[in-house]
Amino acid sequence: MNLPSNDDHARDNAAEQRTALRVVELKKRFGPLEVIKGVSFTAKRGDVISILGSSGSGKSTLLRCLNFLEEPSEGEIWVGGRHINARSGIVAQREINALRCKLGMVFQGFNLWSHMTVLENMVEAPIHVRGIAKAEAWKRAEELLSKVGLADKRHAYPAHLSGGQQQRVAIARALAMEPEILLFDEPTSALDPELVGEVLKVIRSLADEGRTMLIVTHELGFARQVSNRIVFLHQGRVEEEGAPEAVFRNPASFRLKQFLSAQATELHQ
Amino acid sequence: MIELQGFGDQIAAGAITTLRVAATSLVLGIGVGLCGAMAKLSRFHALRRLADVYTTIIRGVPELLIILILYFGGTVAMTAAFGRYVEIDAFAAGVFALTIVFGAYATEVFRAAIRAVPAGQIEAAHALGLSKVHTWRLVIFPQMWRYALPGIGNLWLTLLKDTALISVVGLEDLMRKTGVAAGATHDPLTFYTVAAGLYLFFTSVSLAGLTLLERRANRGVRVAD
Repeated sequence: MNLPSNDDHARDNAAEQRTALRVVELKKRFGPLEVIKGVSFTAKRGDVISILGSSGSGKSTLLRCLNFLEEPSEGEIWVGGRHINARSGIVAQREINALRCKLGMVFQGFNLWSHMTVLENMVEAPIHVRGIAKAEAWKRAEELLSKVGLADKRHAYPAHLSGGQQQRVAIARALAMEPEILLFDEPTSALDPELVGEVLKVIRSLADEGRTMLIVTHELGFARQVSNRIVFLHQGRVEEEGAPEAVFRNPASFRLKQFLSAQATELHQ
Repeated sequence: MIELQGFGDQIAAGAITTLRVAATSLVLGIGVGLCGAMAKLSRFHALRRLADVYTTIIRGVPELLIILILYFGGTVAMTAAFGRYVEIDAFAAGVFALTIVFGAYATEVFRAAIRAVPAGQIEAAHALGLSKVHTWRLVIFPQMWRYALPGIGNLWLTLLKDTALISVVGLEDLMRKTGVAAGATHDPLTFYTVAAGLYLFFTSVSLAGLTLLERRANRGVRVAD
C-alpha cells in the first residue's frame, strides 16, 4: 500500500482549504430533456462568481442542483471537504441536509415564512438544524438584522415589508446558518427597480467581507463590479468563463457576444 | 319558563352525549383527514388510489346509509369474529361512522390547504437544512390551518348536526331523548323547539370559537392591501 507522504498531505490540505466548492460534470435531466449537460467549475474561498445566461440556459437549475432542491442526475460536488457523488443515485437525506447547512440560498421570491416575524424566520433553522441555544440564536439574529439595516423591523411580519426589505431579511436568514457559500438565485429579479439598489448594496458588502458567493443574475453591471469571475451558460454548458473585464470587453464566443449585445439593446430601449 | 314535564335531565344527558360523540369524532376525524390528505399527496400511487376510493365512496353515499351499513356490517363482522351474537355499542358505532364521514370531507379540505402553502416557503425550509418533520411542524402545519379552518369549521357544524342521525342505531343522544319526550308528553312542538334551540346554541358558540381561531391563524397576513 502506497501511503501519501506528509508533504502530499500538506499540499492537498492547502488546496482543499482554498477550494470552497468544486463541481465536476454535473448533469440534470428532466425526463428526456437534458437541462444541464455536464458543468464543471471550482470556486475558491472568497470567490464571487456570477452565473450569466439567457433564460433556459440552466443557470437557476444549476444553482438548485448544488443544494439538491433539484436532484442532480449525475456529477460530483465537493463542499468544504465533503464529497457527494450524485452518480450513485439516491443520496441519503442526512447527507443532503449536511450539504445544505454549508450552502445558504437566497431566492428570487424571498420565500420568507409568512406566519413568522422577521426574527422568528431567522432563528428556526439555527436552533433546529445547528442546535444553537435559543438565546444565542436570537442574539445572533438581531446582530445580522442590524447588519442588513433592518433592526427596527425585527417584530414585523414579512407581509408588512417591502420586497427589498424582505430580500434583505432572507439574506440575513441565510447568513444565520453561517454557511460556507452563499447561493443567490436572481435575488433582484422580483423587485421594483427602485428597490434593487438596497439589496445589491447588501450583497456587495458581503463580497467585501470575503464571502464565497455564486450569483445568478441579470444585473450585468453589478456582476461586472462585484464578481471576480463570470461563468456564462448556454444550453446547459459553460460556454465561456473568465475575469469580468475580459469576458465583458472581449467575449470570445459568439453566444456571449450575442447575449451581451441583446442585454445592451434592452438597456438602451 | 318552558315546561319540560320532568324530561329536563334526560334532555341534558342527551345533549352531553351529542357533544361527546361530536367532539370525539372531530378529533379522530381530523386525524383521519390529515392521513387522507397526506396519502393523496403521497408519491406512492397505491396510497393515492386508496385515498381516492375512500373519499369517493364516502362522499357519494348518504350519511344515514353509511351509519346503518357500518352499524349492521359491524355487528355481522363482530358476530362472525366471536362466534356469537355481539351487539355493537351505539356510542362507539356512532363515533366510528361520523369519524369515517368527517375524515373523508376533511381529507379534501386538508389536501387543498396543504397545497395552498406556497411551495417557495417549503423550499426555503429545505434549503436551510430543516428536516421533513421540522418543515411540516414549522412551516406547513401552522400555515395550512389558515387555509383549512373555514372548511373544517363548516364540517364541524355539519358533524354536530349529523350526530342526530346516530339516534337511528339507538344512541341516547339529544335527538333521541327529545323524540322520546315528545312521544311521551304528546307535546312534540315544545320538545323539538327546545332541541333545535340547543343545537343552535352549540353551533353559535362554535362559530364564535372559530372566529377566534381564524384570527389567530391569520397572524402575519396583511389585513388590507
